Amino acid sequence: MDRVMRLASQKAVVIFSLSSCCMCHTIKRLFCELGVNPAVYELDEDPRGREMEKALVKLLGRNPSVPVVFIGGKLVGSTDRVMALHLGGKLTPLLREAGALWL
Amino acid sequence: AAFLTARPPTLQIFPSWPMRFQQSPRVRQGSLWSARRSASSSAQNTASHAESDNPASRMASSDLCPDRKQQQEMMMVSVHGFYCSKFASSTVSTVGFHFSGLCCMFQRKMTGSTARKDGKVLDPKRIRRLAQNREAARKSRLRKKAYVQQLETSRIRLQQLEQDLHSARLQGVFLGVAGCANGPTSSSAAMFDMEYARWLDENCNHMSGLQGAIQAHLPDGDLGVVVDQCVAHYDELFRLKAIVVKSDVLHLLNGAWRTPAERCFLWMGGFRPSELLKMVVAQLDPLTEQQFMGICNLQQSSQQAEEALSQGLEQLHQSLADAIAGGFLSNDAAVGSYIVIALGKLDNLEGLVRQADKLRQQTLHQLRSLFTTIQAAKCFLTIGEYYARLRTLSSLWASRPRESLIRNDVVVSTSTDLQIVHQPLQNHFPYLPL
Repeated sequence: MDRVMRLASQKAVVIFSLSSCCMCHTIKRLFCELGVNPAVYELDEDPRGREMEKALVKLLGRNPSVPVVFIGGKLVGSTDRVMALHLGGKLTPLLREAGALWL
Repeated sequence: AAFLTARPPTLQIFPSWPMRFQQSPRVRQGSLWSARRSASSSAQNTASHAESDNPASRMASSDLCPDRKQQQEMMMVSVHGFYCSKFASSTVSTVGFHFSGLCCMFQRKMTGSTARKDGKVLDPKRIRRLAQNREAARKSRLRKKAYVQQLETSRIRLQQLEQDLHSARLQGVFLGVAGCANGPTSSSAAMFDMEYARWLDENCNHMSGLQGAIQAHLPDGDLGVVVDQCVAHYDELFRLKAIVVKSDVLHLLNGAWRTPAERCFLWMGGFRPSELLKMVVAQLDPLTEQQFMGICNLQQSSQQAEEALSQGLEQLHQSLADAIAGGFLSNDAAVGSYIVIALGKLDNLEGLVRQADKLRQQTLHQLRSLFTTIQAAKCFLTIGEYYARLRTLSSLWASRPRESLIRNDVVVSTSTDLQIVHQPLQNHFPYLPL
């Protein structure tokens, strides 16, 4: 959990993912489309990935563990939340605030 | 005439015989009458109606005939009718003899002269004719009976088939639903198809309600209620889809539950939000600057989300293909595992389609809040009409004639009012509910 929180605060946009997960791929693509360069941590390629997944499940309060997005060090949520924010026009301001977007 | 209708059906084939008897020669009168009596459709029936003859004759004598002569004729005929029924089962010769005797009586009454000589001369021919007529009538009755029986059996069979179909549908053995090529439909898919059909019906009602509310110039509060009901109805559809996406996501994806023309535009098991937004913006002038910006932003965000989801789907396709193709030439144990992996991948489809549906639902809610009440009403009416037209297009497509009769100059009207089809098309497909 500590590792998760530490990694989450190191960059403006942090995504915890699994390389095989298509929803993770979706979220990654979305941020790329927005012109953001997120820090992506593939938990299946991380030696301590399993514990981090467990920590994320606890954080979210449900499965699946990924994808999980942090913006400006703060937890935003999983795909549902990110999509809803974006459609509501609230994602871009958040990204600008965190310094992930310059336009 | 009323006298005639009170008679048993057998006499309805004699519409004008009272008049004839006045005008034609006596002998022919008699033979005409008797020939017709024997050719009546059911001698057996007159037996059952024998009792009705007498009251009918009483009726005849009262007020229906213009003159006394006619009254007499009618009375005579009714009596003869009675005798005819009594002797229906007797042999030809007896009947023929009896008829001829009766005719002589009849003729004497009419004219007062003796025509017995003439009556005897015509006997053999008349007998044969009577017999032939009787035979023809009998055959006709048998044919009719056979036909009616056939109709009855068919009707019962039809009822049974309808019942079977109904119960089969309920059990989910639902063959022939749009996507025959997709093989047997799962029971949850069949269930969804039925619920969706019902939803469509209800949606039509909501659309009519909207149209009525707009035309009635309802105050904003009331109109808002109607619009909100429409939106809630769409939420209902997403609830239905959420159920079937868990049990049969492939059914949603293959679009078997939509009509062919709608399937052209299918994106991840439903409509593509940005396309809908483009359509709505084009139809709903005028918009304020703020509204226009709002819709444009919504459209852009939606497009980005759609693109991301499509990419996710593509990645899934790729990994699914890899899993299925994996272990072609390996040992048995490894080959077996590809199924497990592939099934796991299919499960991921559920997540993607669910996200797509959420996108759709949110788009509709955003539209509701971006517009004024009257704009929102028109917006949802436009959306409803758009899909109704797509469904109409599907019907036209499905029922188009094999050799195309639609010439180049027949064009579907694309005007912004709600007229649907140019007249010539209607002539080709007159039974469509447009």
